[in-house]
Amino acid sequence: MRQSRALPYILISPSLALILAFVFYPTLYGFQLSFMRMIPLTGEFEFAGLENYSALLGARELWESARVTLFFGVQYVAVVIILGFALALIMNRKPRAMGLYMTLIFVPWVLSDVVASIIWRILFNQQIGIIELTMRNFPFWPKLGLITTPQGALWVMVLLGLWRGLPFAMLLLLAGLQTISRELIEAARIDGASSWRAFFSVTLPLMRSQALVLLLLASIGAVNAAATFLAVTQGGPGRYTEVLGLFLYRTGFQFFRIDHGSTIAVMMFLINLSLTLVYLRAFRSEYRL
Amino acid sequence: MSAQPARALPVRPVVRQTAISTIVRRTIGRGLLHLLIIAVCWIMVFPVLWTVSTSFKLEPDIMRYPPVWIPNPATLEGYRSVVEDGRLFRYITNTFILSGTSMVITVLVASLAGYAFSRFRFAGRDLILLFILATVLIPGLTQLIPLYQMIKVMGLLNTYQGLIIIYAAHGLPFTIWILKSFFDAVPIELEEAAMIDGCTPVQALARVILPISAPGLMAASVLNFVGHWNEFLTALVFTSKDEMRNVSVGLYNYLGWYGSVYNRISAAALLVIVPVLILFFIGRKNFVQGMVEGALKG
Repeated sequence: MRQSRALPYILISPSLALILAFVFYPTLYGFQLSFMRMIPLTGEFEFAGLENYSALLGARELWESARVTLFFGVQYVAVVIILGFALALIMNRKPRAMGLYMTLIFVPWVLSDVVASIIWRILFNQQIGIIELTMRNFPFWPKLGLITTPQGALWVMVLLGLWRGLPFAMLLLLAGLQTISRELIEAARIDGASSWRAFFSVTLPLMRSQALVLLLLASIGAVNAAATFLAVTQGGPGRYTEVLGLFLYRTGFQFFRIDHGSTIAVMMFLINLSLTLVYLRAFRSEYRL
Repeated sequence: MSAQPARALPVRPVVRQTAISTIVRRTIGRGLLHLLIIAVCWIMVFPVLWTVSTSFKLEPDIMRYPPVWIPNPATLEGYRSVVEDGRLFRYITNTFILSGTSMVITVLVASLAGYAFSRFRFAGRDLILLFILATVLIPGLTQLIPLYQMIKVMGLLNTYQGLIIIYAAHGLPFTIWILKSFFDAVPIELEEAAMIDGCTPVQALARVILPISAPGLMAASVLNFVGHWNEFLTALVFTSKDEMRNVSVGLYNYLGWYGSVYNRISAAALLVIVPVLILFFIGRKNFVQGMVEGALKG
């Protein structure tokens, strides 16, 4: 570490300027817009107090979207953690050709929102979808196609999220598993613990911080999902898969209600913030122990 | 504690014999492990392979049930129509310009900051670093509307500059973090030697630290490039002119026009991911490592 007066500030100033102007300021500006009313036609704004908030909180659409987001989030986060863990445990056995397997598993992670959405629409297409047509032989499968029913469409989106989110979840947990020394587990085994017991009493507790990071990242990802919903279901059938993010996009850019859209954005920001704080709290008590 | 097994080794009473049955059991176990992993790999990859297959099919094969994997006859019809249409290449060019420029700006600017945070002690250092890293947690979606308003007021809708500046700024926090941790790993003596030879700190950064940190720069560049290449919502709201669109927005509109011309939409989607897949296969080691570090430490 060196002492220097001006140089470090000169070095960080371009970064700081860009971040302040295009990451930090927009957040504040968004708050400001949420307290403004948009004057039709002129596109100018005037102060409106909490008008947007009361209008939105009184609207059924917001609560419907919040409910769908919650459903989606809970299903996605729970399954991605469980499957991610299972996959990490498997990969932790360090099979030969590990590099090849990892590369293949990571393919969906590389795809963009729109490309992944196109692929998903083809798989679940009512006329030609390979998954759709294969599964239609089962009695529980909706006759008109999974994507046409409210719960089915949401499952299609959960599956899409899993397909794309699983590689990263696995990687994160695998990195955690690899920090646990073999000796610790062997010591438990020598003391007479079964391999299940060793897993639950040694491995799992040591993985809590990785699991928390994953929980945080996956829930933030789920709360802010919008692009794939726009490209796969467009919120349908009806509004049943119109998650908060899509509701925000629609309000702001299809109904051109910048003021209401900003208000939804602020609400989503607060949801994100509280999720982060809750998890960070859990973290801190983790380290104190 | 860990030293004990080593000491215990010479007096171990029985040398464990590996019975044939154990070998058989282990082989079966390993076989099952591989089968399981191959099944997982198949689930992850088959949607892409199915799209590849669809892109070479003609209408009757697309509609066929039970589904066929190998198109008969195979056709380049889907690709031909995309190429003839030509718009996709405009989108690809745009996206190269957008992603490449933003990537260069981000990595240059972030390496200066990463160097400062790695090597200097200055008032407010920890606080500023914490602030920068905390902005990673602000979801881009919640900034969509304010950014749109700002860019509109600046008159930069439907321009490259508007998107580039947003992409560059939003890539900064995690890039600074990745580069800082790579710089931290460079021994300070190397730099001191360079300075004794008369280098200024910035020259030391350019001639000593950056070359040594090449894998870090590589990882940061690829992550930025791929992130921008795939970006969708910001580009969607910033560009209304077709000739300014990036690949994601272009493909999204394609989906509206040709969503049911399955070989064509599949071909277009595949053409778009080729650059990213190439980058991914070239740099996958750095790529994955950079991600883990970013996620675990950030």
